[in-house]
Amino acid sequence: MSLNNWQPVIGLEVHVQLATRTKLFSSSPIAFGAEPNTQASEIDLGLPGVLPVLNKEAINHALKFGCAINAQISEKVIFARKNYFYPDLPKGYQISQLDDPIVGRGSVEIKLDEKSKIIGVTRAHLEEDAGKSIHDLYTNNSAIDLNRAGTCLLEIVSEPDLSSAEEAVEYLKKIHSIVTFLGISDGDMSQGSMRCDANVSVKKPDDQELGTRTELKNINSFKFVEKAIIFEIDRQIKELEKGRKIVQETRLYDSKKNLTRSMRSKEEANDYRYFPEPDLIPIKISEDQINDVRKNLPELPDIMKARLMKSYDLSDENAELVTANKETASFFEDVLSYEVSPKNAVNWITGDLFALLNKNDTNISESKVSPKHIAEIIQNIEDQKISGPSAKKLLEIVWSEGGEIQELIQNEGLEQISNDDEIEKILDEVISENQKQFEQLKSGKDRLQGFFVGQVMKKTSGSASPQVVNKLLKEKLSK
Amino acid sequence: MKITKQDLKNISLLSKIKIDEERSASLIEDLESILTMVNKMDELDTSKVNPLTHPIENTQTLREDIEKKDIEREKLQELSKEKDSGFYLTPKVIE
Repeated sequence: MSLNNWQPVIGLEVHVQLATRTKLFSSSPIAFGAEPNTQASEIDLGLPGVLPVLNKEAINHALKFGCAINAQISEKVIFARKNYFYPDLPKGYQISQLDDPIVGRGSVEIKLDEKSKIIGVTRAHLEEDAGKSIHDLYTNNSAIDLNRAGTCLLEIVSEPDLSSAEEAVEYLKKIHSIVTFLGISDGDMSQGSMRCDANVSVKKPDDQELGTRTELKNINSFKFVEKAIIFEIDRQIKELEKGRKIVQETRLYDSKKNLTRSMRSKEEANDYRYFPEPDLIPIKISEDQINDVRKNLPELPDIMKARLMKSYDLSDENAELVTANKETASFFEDVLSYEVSPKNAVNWITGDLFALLNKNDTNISESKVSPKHIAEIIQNIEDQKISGPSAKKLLEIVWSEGGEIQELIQNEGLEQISNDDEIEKILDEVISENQKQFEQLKSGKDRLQGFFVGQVMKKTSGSASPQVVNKLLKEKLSK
Repeated sequence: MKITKQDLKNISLLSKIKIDEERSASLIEDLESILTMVNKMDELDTSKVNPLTHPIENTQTLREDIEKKDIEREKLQELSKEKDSGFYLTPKVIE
């Protein structure tokens, strides 16, 4: 994509589904994938005469986020009605916030190519989610499932401080890691726990004002955020260079075709007629309450990363890998609690374990290999009781069959043979079978050394100690 | 305050109320007179008054995050004319 001296200006609106047990204004449960409408009570259906009662935990979660990004917290939280008609919004309005959002101005730091950049967060407010409309089930009807209606959302709005698709992805990853470390959301984008709209415009460096922006909807993965924004920047530049104007509109990202297209129907009479929600009186947030949340904030990813680098001498890259999300970070710390080398722990988790997780299309919270398993495998390698190849084999066995590491080493015969006599016997066998090569090695063809070690490993199914084989081979050569 | 035909059309769209073309002139007149009455309030200087969102000074009582499993879908769906397999059905709405 050629920018041709145009500067992209991007702001993101991220909707985070909060990890509460019940909805924002009702006691209905919110389990994902329940039978249609079994989690939609009178309140969620908007029946006449019902009243919303605000969930305490949702307020706490929002306060945690506010404290984590050093934001101003509103002393008085006011809800507002946002009015529009759609079948999956049975009340005809969404209870949201307009003025006095619970979280005011704050900021997060992102890193790209070793460079840090501060991204402003304009605000974050609480609102209820809508239900789901399913259009392809019936020929003449839309099917409405209101299980999601009323679920707690935190909408986090950034300043237009992002200047590339890559920065937008880094910002989104940052928000993801903050909310998952805080434990206020599972952050699962595939289940819609985190959704993202992007406001995109382009301008020339000398332009005082921002260009006309479009709003991209329906972006539900880190990959699509990047692709949708890249497409839209390119589209806008091409339009402007043809002398056309950008229309301020909502555009839908189509991930299958990788393009954005206009949603004209949304443009008609876009007026939500906000007014203060008369059914909820203002919520006062005291200084004590904020201090209490701040005091009990869990360790955040940046702080944890710095701590890991300092206490375990991890590289920036390794520390970044294990603090990428909360689950990996706790897995790592659990492995370390068995007193193994941090470097080995990082290597085994981000190398072989991640490969296994990828192969099985799952994530670390679903891992069939426990931190204890990994720790014991590392301990056995550190004590030279098993070889690297055996350890890999062991990991695969634990994944598919489970079991105790010590027992598996015994039962599968994976114990490393470090006994000199035993290895020497096998080495002698290999030499007698490969007399010619041995003579060549003796006369200086050094690269054959690997061949002999390899043959011994093969005969012992990888359980011989390579160090011992090398040592014995050298002794034989000098004889 | 002036109301244009386009304003009236937008109001009709937002409120989902169909307006007969022949009534639009008299409706515009009514709406303008309502707005004139409402705008009367703008004559008051409120620059030193904090916005009042609710007349009660108390703080909102909050609810503990505990599930209630008392949703009776079948009973609630008796209120709805069209439903199937647990879904509520509406005329087809598609973007």
